[in-house]
Amino acid sequence: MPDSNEDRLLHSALGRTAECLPVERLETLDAQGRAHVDHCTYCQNELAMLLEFRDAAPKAEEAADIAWMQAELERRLTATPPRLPSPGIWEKAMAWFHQAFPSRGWAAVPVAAALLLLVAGGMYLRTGEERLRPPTGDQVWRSQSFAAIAPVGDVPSAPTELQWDAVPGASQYLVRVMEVDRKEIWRGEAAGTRIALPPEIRSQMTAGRSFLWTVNARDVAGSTLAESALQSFHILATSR
Amino acid sequence: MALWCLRLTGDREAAADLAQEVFLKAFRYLDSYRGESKFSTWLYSITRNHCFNEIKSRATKPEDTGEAVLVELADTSPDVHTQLERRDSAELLRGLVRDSLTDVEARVMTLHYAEELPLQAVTQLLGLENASGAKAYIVSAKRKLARALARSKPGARG
Repeated sequence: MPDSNEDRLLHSALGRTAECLPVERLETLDAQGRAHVDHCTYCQNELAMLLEFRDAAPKAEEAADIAWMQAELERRLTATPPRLPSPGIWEKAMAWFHQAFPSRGWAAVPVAAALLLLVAGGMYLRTGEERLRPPTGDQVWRSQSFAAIAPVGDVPSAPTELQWDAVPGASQYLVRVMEVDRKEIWRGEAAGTRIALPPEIRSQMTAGRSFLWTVNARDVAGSTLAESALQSFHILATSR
Repeated sequence: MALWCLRLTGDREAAADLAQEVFLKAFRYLDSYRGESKFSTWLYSITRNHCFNEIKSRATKPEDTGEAVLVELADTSPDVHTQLERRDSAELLRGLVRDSLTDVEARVMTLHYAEELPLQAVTQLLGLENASGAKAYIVSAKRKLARALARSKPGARG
């Protein structure tokens, strides 16, 4: 493939062009990038695959296969340590281990164990990202004393404001908005139970992206009274 | 990542093989991750490229996707004039795909013709549940493109 003249034409017409965006630019589209994606079938498919890779949660019928894969990978890596593609891998694995376990004696730990950690970490990364994005919009993962109310779950566009429950005795609320890797993109303070998002932050909240936010309630002395549950919202992709 | 491999292959053992290979590759090239994109985006790039290459290398023969209906656009004469015409044809075809096909049809066509994934892999990756999977979308898309092409000819009515 491509085999026939028609296949070759379709390959040429539907394939990547010089104007197509690298995948790193697809995750944070600016206006110019958005304009290209809007009329490029190739980049639209690439963006869809990236979002599916990052955000897809297993369906009920897939859960057993995923559990089997995790068990199988662990079994393979512990039962039969894999042949390493290059000596450099050993050095990297051991460097990781020495960093994680600085005491002596760990040099004898098989690389399989390091790779097992890597696999487990990868599984955790995947499931962790799923935990960061509630499928239904009404799920809260951690709640010590009060709730962040809105926005939560899938929203049609960038929210104009954030709202949360009042905390008795609180005189000030510190609000933080983060990307899904918990990199903070904005923080603000409010005396009441809502705060407006500035336009420059809203402009970053483009279709298909997810964000986390949390609220810290403080008393007049600035001491923390309560920390809200970590909440998440996802800007729905625009449909064509 | 494991879920994506599973959806692409439709087989948990093949998916476990791919996931293991991707982890090894990610580990090997960890130094190349510079934090300029999300880690999940970096891992996606590795997963996508590795899995697509593996799937394509296992595909044995071209698949029948119905009769050629875009033959007028697909001239292969080697002269420069025709090559220029072919470039125009590709641009015309891009416009027809954009304007005539549904999102799913466009994705199926892109994955099969641009990424060269076998029909079975396209069906699984997109979770298509109709009886003949991606092939039905391709047949439908080609018919739409042929009709749109006929309408786009100078002097065409309607």
